[in-house]
Amino acid sequence: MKQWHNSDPSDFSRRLRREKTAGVLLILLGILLSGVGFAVRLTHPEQDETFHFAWQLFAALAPALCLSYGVPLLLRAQRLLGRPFYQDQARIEQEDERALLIDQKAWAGAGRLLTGALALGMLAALALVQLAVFWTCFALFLLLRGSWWLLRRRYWEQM
Amino acid sequence: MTQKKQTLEQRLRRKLLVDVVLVAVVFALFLAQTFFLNFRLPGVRPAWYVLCYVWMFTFEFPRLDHIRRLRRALRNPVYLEKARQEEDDERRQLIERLAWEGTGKLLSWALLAAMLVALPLARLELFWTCLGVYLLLWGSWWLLRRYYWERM
Repeated sequence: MKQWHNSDPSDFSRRLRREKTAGVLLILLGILLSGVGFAVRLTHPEQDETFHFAWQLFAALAPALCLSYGVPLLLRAQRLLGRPFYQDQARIEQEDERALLIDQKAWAGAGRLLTGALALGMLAALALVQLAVFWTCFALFLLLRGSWWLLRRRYWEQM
Repeated sequence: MTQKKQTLEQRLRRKLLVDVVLVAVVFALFLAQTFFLNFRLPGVRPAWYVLCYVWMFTFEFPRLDHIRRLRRALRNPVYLEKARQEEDDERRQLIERLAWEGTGKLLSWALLAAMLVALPLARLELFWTCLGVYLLLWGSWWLLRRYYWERM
């Protein structure tokens, strides 16, 4: 069976450095997307209010999503890289079998719940003739079941 | 775990009851929807066919097969023993959980990407649907993790 977390401390340091880089890149992407969002308002003054409302939402939400992932990733990596003792603790935490089991069981439950919710969402969307919502739910449903099936069959079953 | 306190037959009977009720509810819902939908509106008919095929092949046909296997296990001791072995198969359970975990992580990123694409294109229905599904995924994961599995 594949080991998810390599127990070698030097590998864990490398992983932390990669996480730090990813955090920096995500923060930069957030700033860039925010800039693009606001620039559109200035460069397209002829467009209607709906268009500008969507771009304002984009300019606010895209950086928020990027920063919500990037900042904790960067701060954690930065904190752990300077402190070997805490790094060791974090490595042990990542290898904690109980934590891994709880995580997996929560994912399995969430996945099953979501499958049912998407199917019901399709049924409701069709009854309300909201076809955009219907096709979005359908695409997400296919993605969920398709990736589950592929991962199960082509990846984990062959381990 | 409360599951361990019940006997295998009790668990199978409970599963059988749940499956039968679900099949009945689903068929009633679909029948009601057939009369309720306005098929003259453009796009409704293909969406209805897609929904019927997807739902039946994903949920109902496997559920009907499950009902058949449960009834067989409850009647025949050989199949009952097989059901017990299947329930205890740790490798199969691990594979299922790992596949769900990978799928959940993939889907989270796909939803974020879709939200980022939907907004610049001003497709707000798409954006809100993806945000709703994203919150549902993470919310249910968080609730299950914190209030159910962590307390076991």
